[in-house]
Amino acid sequence: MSHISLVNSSDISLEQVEDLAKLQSLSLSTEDLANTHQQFKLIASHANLVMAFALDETIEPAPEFRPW
Amino acid sequence: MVDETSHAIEIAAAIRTGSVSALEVTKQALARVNSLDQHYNSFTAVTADRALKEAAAIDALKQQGATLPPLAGVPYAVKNLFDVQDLITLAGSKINASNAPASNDAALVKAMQKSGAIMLGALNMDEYAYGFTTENHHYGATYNPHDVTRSAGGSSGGSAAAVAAGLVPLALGSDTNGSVRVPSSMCGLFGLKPTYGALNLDGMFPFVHSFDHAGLFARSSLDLALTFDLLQSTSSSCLGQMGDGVAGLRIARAGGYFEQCDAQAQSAVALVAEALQASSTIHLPEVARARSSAYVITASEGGNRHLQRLQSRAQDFDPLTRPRLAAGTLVPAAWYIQAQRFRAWFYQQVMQIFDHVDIIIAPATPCCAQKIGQETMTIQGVTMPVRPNMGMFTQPISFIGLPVVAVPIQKVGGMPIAVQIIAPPKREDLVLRVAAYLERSGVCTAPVVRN
Repeated sequence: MSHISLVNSSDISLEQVEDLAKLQSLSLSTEDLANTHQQFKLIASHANLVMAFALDETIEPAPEFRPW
Repeated sequence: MVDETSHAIEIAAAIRTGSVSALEVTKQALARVNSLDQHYNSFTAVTADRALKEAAAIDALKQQGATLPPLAGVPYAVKNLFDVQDLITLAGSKINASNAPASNDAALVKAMQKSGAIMLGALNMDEYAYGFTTENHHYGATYNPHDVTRSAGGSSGGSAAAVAAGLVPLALGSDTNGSVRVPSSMCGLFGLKPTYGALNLDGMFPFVHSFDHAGLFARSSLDLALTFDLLQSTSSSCLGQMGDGVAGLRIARAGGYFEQCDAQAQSAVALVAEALQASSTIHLPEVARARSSAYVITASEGGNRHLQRLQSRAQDFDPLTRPRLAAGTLVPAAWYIQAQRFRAWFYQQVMQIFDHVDIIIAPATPCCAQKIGQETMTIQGVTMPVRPNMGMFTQPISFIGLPVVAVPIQKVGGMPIAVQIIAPPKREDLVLRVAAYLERSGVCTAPVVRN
């Protein structure tokens, strides 16, 4: 079973987002960095919900999903 | 008599019988776009020369006594992420404006042309389809024909506004997380998001590979059915089943998560449920988590798609889009993979529910169209941002690729809202059949509106 907890999304700092952006070679203005930080925290709050769900290990991802 | 209120099927029939020519219909439609679209800002390009040539070709076929194709002479337009030969495929962006014009039509544009439809132009959208409001920084907001101070919805807002205002009877759009169903709700239209993979996406600018669908807008369910039949790659027909009614169908409304909407949305669902005699309620499991998974996958795939552009031309993005895409590039692989695994789980769970019901009904949006520029809305006492949350009921459904028709409920003196009619994969015949029943019974209508 996978049942993973993340840090609280509100704890993600601006500096962490800036470091992640550098890893992607993104150069963001001060305003863009602040907005990106807000957006990343929102994604993280959704990710928290997803990661907290206990999925059986036999369930594989469906990146090339076709519903038939 | 053909006018701006005519449905596609009626226009094609009038041209077939010779009561009006394709050229007359096309000139009237172009004149309407020219004189009225200043109020709605739905078109970003008008292809008048192409339209007149295509119409002349239909009239020539008619004069030769040839059998006309099913949509002969019917004007339509497409969201500007579809390739249209000799037009730049903007996808709502400034960055794409420096690209070369498309050298060919998208597959669905080709299919529309083969069916005899007349291309009038390209329609406004949220930048790179990432939004639910069509408040485009580069090309302006699209205004809702029911109330021009309000959003037309998005991301296919131009498509919805053009059909609602009677500029065209049909428009093509795309739906990744709700971009056909949300603007259908905002503008009071019938909108079809078919099963994932049912329509060919070749020549459409992509957003999120896992969820991208093409879709249709119309003011009648029959127009949706005919057009879907013509665009899909199989030989099955939905149009022929449109008169079958709903007797024998097991229809239930979605409870729980889907009840977090305002009174108007609740009333719309209740009205549809009553008309369909749907007295039972089902609960899809873990819907909030499905929506969250869709959110994570969208952010990650969307961000990755635009990473190079974010690295080289960040300042040329719409300020509403830039931070969302930038944040998406930072999503850890573990979040993305878990969301895709959850998707497989959720699909299995919902398919088990379809062992017991044929149709699920749910609100399309938590409320009607909000004011352009409005940042927040309050639903059942909870204040939330407008832009990401207009799709809270559509995202969990496109997450697993189910076919949906959004059916409109009009409100006298007020804004419309839509209800989702949802079926198992590849059962567009069922959702269209139910939509046709609701239209025949007068519950759902989509009149031309120009307020």
